[in-house]
Amino acid sequence: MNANDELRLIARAQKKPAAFEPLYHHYVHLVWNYCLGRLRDRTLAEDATSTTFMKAMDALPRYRPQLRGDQTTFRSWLMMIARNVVLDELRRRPMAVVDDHSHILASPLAGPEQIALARDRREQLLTAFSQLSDQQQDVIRLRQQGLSGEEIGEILGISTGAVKSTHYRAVQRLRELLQEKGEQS
Amino acid sequence: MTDTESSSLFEYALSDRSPVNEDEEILMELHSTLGMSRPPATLLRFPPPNASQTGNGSSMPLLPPR
Repeated sequence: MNANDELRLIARAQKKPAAFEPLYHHYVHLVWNYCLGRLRDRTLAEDATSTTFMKAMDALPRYRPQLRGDQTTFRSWLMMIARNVVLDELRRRPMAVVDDHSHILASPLAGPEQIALARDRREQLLTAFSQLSDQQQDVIRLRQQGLSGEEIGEILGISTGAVKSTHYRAVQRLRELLQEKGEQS
Repeated sequence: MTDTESSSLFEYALSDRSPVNEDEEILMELHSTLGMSRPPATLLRFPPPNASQTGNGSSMPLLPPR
């Protein structure tokens, strides 16, 4: 979807909520994967995704999209809402972190030993990732989902330079945590 | 940390280059671990289900318009 198409869709959806559907289908994967990556629970992520779009549709008539290069600011606005919904959920249920990425291990080619090793490594990675700050997790996750430094900065309310240094420090911290874990085992 | 180091690692995050150092390998491994998954069927229909129907509605106020 190019920026002008998106602007037209936004303008239509601002007048008629049902016209939001193409925007919804375009962005639901992005929002869902962000919510799942942060909440690590499919039920919570499903609710957070729904809530994000409900809030977006509710606020859309007052939203003023802008062009930025070959994109609009809609994606970062939507992800800002998603982040607030996720943070709200994490505040309400700080212990409700249930890892749910079991689908990733479902490889028909892996034997029992490989599966066990992969599961151990995956647990180490996820544990280390969860020990990063909220901001560090957000920067890594949003970058992996293809958002630019400028967009991530907008979502988190920090400069593009701060996004890059946060990303760098997050990776260094991940490496330290994994090394510590490796030395312990 | 130099700007060049942080920038190159950041730009690597979604590039398709082979990893050239340990940090990039960790990022690549984390990317495949966190993965991307298809939303559940309930989210593939529009409008999405109301989260309050499952009792998990968020209390976060709406963002101010930009």
